[in-house]
Amino acid sequence: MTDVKLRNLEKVYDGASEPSVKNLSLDINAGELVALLGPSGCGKTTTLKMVGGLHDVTSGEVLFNGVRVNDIRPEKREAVMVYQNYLLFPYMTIEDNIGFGLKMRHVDKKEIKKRVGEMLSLVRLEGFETRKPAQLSGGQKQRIALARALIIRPKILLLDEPLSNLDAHLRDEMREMILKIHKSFGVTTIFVTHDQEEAVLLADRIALMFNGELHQYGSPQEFYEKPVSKKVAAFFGNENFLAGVKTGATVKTEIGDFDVEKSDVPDGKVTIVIRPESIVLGDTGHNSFQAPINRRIYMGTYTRYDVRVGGNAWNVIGDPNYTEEYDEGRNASFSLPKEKIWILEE
Amino acid sequence: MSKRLTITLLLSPAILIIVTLFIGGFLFGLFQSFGYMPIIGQHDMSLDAYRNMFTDTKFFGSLFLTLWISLAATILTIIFAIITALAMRQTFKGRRIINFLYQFPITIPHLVIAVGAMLLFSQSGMFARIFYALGIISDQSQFPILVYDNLGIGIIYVYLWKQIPFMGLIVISILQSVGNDYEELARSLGANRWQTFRYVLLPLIVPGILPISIICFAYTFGSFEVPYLLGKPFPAVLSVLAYRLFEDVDLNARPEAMAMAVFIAVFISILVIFYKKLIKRITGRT
Ligand SMILES: Nc1ncnc2c1ncn2[C@@H]1O[C@H](COP(=O)(O)OP(=O)(O)OP(=O)(O)O)[C@@H](O)[C@H]1O
Ligand SMILES: [Mg+2]
Repeated sequence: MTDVKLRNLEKVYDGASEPSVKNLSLDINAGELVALLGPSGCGKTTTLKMVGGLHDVTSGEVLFNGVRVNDIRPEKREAVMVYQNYLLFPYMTIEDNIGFGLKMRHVDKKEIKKRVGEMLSLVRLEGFETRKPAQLSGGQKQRIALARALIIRPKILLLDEPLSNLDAHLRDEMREMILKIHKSFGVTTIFVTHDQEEAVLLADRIALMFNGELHQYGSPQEFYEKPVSKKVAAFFGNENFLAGVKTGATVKTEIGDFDVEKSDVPDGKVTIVIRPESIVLGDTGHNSFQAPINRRIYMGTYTRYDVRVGGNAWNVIGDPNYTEEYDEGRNASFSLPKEKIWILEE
Repeated sequence: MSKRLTITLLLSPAILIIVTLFIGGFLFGLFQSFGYMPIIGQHDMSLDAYRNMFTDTKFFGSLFLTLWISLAATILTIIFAIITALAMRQTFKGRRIINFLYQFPITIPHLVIAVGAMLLFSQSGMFARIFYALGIISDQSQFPILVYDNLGIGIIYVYLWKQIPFMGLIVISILQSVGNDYEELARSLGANRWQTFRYVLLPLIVPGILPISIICFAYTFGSFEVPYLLGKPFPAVLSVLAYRLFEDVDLNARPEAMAMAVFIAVFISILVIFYKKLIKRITGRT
């Protein structure tokens, strides 16, 4: 079992003026599955390759179990990559593809054959030994790629958007397989994705990056309930923001005063954040206000309302069975449960 | 007018020239190789020239020399093309200049390189003189025999000079299209640099250069001017031997010269067919 620590990691590519990864520090526990999440170009792959030793570190440190591995060559790190586009060696059979890592370690041929068989049954592709990669579907290729990585019993598994090339239902299947394998192998895993839903479904913890920098690191719930910035909240699909001024346990806003729970945020300018599903529609009690419904969208299991709150466009999620009083164009009342309000320092 | 007809018409002058010069020339040579030479009153056709050729030890000496030169030039070209292409992929200072120098020989005709090699590397050439003047050798004949040598080193050298950058460019473009991902993946799976080259890069490169290697081989096998300038009088490569027989004052040597030319043409045609098959297999698979 291996834990991974990144210390002030920085990467400037040759000829680049800006670093692609800046001052990144991250602790990953042994056996943990961490999702490295962020929009395209934010430095996820770069980070992964620095952990795997495939790209040099410009400054900072990579530690495995407390040991600095910056200068350890990739083939000695036992941190294996799996790529979005599978990268099965096209000229090798499936058997040779999976056995590649063992062959490079000069493992006995019989032993390789045995372990390839085990791997194939692990990814439920028994009998595929003699096929060529071109004869496989995308989902099958990715399972082979996973088997090829796992056969060497790596200390760390580095997955770079392994589900991105798969269609929706294959993606679900593959995600379940990754979870299952992660549980049974207990291998420390870093999973790169730009899809927050995927990160939430898979990860023990999520590290969210923007522009080469780590913005938030924590459990999936924390990203929904306690985003560290408006940007993080927006990335997780919540743009219910309201500016105000905090004094003690009250926030004064343009649509009224709201009682909030005690928090570490100092008094002064703040932003209120609340999840669409935490807002109570039709409640005129505590912490309530009136606002116009711009749009109502029936989503089957719920109804989404686009509401104008002060100068902001909010989403509110309500019962699928709406009544006339919440028709488009009407004013409705809403309340914000005190314990569901999250406050951000401006 | 159909598109196909237009294209045919547009190409017809070129086709006409190719047909007359190439096919016509070949047929002319073929008939002469059968001993059909009305100019000297020979109308009977026979396979005598071929029989003579295949029982002639001179022919086999030339054939082996030709095969040796072609094979050595092709294999060395492949090796150096891969090495230089891998080197050119690195980023280093002065890369652009090196790159220019690397590709420069492609633009120079074989003949010019051959003459240059003669002036530089023969025992009466410039390097021999410089070495002698510097006292490194006490006599110009001590300079190693690099042209007019037994193994055709001078000839092979000229082919390499010309072919390495050419094949190197192909390898570079293959490497570019392959990208770094396969190599990185192999490293992370536990392959060291050498293993990565041996088990990943090489199998990705070789299918792409195999067809062009066949062309290289075929070209070297049939080409004339470089061995004519830089080769020993005996044994000479096939094309030179054929030319000598063709030049012979004795017109009776003509059919054997033509038989040799036909032999070369057939040999190369077989290689070209092989090349076509290979290309089809490679492109057919992807
Ligand atoms: N080999 C390289 N040389 C120079 N710049 C690079 C290289 N690889 C990546 N970059 C740059 O570094 C930045 C981060 O790239 P990276 O591939 O790590 O992003 P990413 O988060 O993985 O994006 P994506 O989701 O699109 O894969 C980008 O601006 C990219 O242009
Ligand atoms: Mg990426």
